[in-house]
This record gives sequence, C-alpha cells and structure tokens, in this order.
Amino acid sequence: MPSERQIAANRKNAKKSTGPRSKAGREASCRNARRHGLAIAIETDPAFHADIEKLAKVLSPSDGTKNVDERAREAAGAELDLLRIRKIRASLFETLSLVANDATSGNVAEVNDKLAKLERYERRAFSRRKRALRQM
Amino acid sequence: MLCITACGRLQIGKRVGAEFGILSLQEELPLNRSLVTTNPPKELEVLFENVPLLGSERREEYDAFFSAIASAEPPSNAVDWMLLKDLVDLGWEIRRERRIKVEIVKLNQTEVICDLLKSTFNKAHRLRSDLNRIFGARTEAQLWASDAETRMSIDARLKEKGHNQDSVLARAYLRGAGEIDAIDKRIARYELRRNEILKQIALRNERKAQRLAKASSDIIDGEFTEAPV
Repeated sequence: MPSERQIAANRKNAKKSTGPRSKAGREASCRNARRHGLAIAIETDPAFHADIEKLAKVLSPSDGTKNVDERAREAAGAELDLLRIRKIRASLFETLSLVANDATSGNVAEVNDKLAKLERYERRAFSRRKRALRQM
Repeated sequence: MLCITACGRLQIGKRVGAEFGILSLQEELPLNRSLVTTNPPKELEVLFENVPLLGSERREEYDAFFSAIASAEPPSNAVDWMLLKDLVDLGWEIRRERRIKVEIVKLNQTEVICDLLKSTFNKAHRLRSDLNRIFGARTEAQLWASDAETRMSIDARLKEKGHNQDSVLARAYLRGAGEIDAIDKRIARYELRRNEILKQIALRNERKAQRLAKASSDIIDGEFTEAPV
C-alpha cells in the first residue's frame, strides 16, 4: 500500500508526462493500437472512399438515375475489404520469404498464426458481400 | 495443357493457349505485358490494378491464369466480373499454398537426409573431426537436393543402413507436420469459399457456374502435371 507521500509524488510525476505534445506526435500515437486496420469498417477510411464510390457506381443496377445503390456500396466496400485482406496475406508471405534463410519454426508459426487471424476478417467481408449481392 | 514446371513456372500448351487466345509463357515476353485477352471493363480497373502477388510471382502468369478461367465463360456484367476475380484469386492462392507445401516437404527432406548422413557416418573415417562430419553431411545433403547423380549414390548408401526413400519422405512429413497442417487448413478454407462463389454464380446462371467450376478445377489441379522437358 503506497503512503500518502508516495501517492502525491506519483501524481506530481505523472503531470510531467502527458504523452506527445506536437501535432505529428499526437497523430502518430493515436495509431498506437492500430495493427492492420481491418477491425474498422473500410467505409470509414478516407483512403478508400473514392474507390468504393467508383465500384459501387458500376455495380449499381441501372434504374435511369445516377444514384448509387446502398447495397451496391455495401458490396463494393466488402469487395475492396477482401482485396485489402489478400494484399496483407501476400505481404505476410513476403516477410516469411525475406527471412527464409534464417527461418525458424517460430517465424513460420508466427506467420501461420497471423494468417489464421486474417481468416476472421475475410469471412466477415465475404458474408457481407454475399448478403449485399443477394439483396441487389 | 496448363501446368507448373518443377521450378514453379506456368506453362500453357500452344494449342490450348491459342484456343483461349493466350500466348504461351514459354515464348519470350517483355515484362508487364498483359496476357488478358478477355479484358475487364475500364470502370472495374480498381479491382485489377493491384493484384496481390508475391515477389516471385509474375503478373503475366496471373493474367494467363485469369484468362484461362475467364475464357470458359466470359463475364457479362460487373457483378460477374467481381465474382470471377474472386474465383481466380482463390484459385491462385490455392496454387501458391500447394507450391509452398511442396517446398516445405523438400526442405524437410534435405534436413532429414542431413541428419541421417550424420548418424550413419562411416566409422572408418574416424580421422575426420566431428566438425568435418557435420559440415560434410550438410554439403552432401544440399547436393542430394540439387544433383541427381549424388542423390542416387546417397540414396544407395542410406538404403544399406535401412533408410529408403519412403521412410525419408515420411520423416520429412513428420518434421513439417505443423506447417503442412496449417497449409492444408488454409487450402480447405479457400476451397470452401471457392465453392461458395460458384454457388453464388449458379444462382445467377447455372450453366455459367458449371463451366467455370470445370475450367478452374482443371487449371488449378493441372499444376502438378510435370511439364515435358
């Protein structure tokens, strides 16, 4: 159990360290928890907005209007998610081939573990696209 | 037909190539030249511009693979193109995983040979130090993997000690069991997904799905046919 004096010292010291202060530092630290970005919906990532809209426009059933169908947008998002997952999978294989000469069973097991985790996101994106296409 | 050579290169027979409108990859090709004759619409380029390939995989090979499947039943609309792309990508990944599996078995075979050579070292050469024995076995194992003549002589030596090719292969499988199992599981999942896509295509057009199923199976399974040298 810390004493009153220790608690006060801890609080005083904690005030000296409040994380990054510069804009760049804050931007970098806000991505600390991010590993591959697959846990967040692709639609919320501005880098994919244009591509989703472009693909959704092509997938939209033509009803004489220029409106993009919401289900087509959902299917387009899921499709681009699948492509993103495949790219990550290919890059995981690449990391393994880069260490091929010194590859240990630990390296391989780690990559296998990551590949298995990707499966969850792929299954989700696949189901999302299937549902959207069925409703279209 | 379509096959992968021992060194993993894709080959398409000239007759089939001509039939599908694909050039044979045995012919000299400039890099980045597209082989897809069944070109996807320009509006769908977002799907095709960045194909997830490994450093050792060539875009031309992917395009030829794509064309071979697409030629069985050319897509008629954007959704068909999207589903076809998925079907092709999964087939490509199945092929990649199978190739990796073969390499894992080969690597483990070499390791098994190395261990056996160490343990069955000829006791008559006692003058050699242990270090020489270990490095000698490693060099010999590498030669076993790359040189047919050395392979035959080492196989004969090991056979005298009671280790035949089947037992070496069995040991190699045991050694890489974990990795091989992980690859098999991934292949099974890709196959499941591939079947699911074919079902989705069948819902839209039954005959189209049948033709694509046949074409993609023939091409994926054709990879282990040894190409005539």
